[in-house]
Amino acid sequence: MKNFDLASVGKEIPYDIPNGFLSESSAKILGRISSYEKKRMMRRRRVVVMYYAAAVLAIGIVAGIAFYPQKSNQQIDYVLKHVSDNDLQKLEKTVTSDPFY
Amino acid sequence: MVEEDGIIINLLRNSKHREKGAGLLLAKYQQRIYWYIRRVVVSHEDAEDILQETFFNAYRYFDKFEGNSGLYTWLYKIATNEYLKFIAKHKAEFISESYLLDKVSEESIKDSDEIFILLQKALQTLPEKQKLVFNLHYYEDLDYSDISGITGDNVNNLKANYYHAVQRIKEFIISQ
Repeated sequence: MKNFDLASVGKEIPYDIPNGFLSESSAKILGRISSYEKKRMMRRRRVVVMYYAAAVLAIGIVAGIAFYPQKSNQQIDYVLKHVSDNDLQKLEKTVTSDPFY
Repeated sequence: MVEEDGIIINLLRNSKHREKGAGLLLAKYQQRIYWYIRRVVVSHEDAEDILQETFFNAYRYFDKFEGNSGLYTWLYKIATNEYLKFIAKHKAEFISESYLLDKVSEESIKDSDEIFILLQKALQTLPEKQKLVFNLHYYEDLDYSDISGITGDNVNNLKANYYHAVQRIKEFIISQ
């Protein structure tokens, strides 16, 4: 080809695209976007649930420490009063025979 | 056109209407971006893969769009990055000029005017930067300042690239 002038050639592209390609492609991309959005929402929900669970656990631990029922001396006296002498001796023997006592 | 883009941008920035915004973005720009990619990769299947990644990433990272450039410039930029990633992954094929020239013959419609086929072949003989600049300026009618926003090169560099691209294309076609 001896004479070639770019300005006069035009911009036609000699390639073809399959029928309905653009609408199929749109559907594919939108489908991918939709499943990405679902995953993103699930992830966000999971993070919120984890935060709530951690907060509830923390409150539970603090409340448990604060309100844990302490054995009063009265309760201990009551128990000691109702243990037989025999059992008390056995208990004392067990304690004193403990090598780490 | 700019007004329409404003609507699309607002929808994409609104968490409740983002998907609707994506639909409008595709309706307006999908064809244009497809042909931009297709001219450089030649194969329809490769163009489709890059197109999918381009629009998915445009949606995913839309919060990074600051609005300093046009929406279409931003899309061309993502498409260009996806194209460069694609050819880096398929280096062996894209480095070979004969592979691309054969691909042009293979993909061309049989009864096309020969000059259009030759022009696409000539495009494939260009270095990567010249190929992109020629594609954006000649086919997409983008001005050099928009192209500069896409490739990151200064306008004078782009003009030089375009000039050299045209010279090489002429030489290729005359030699055929």
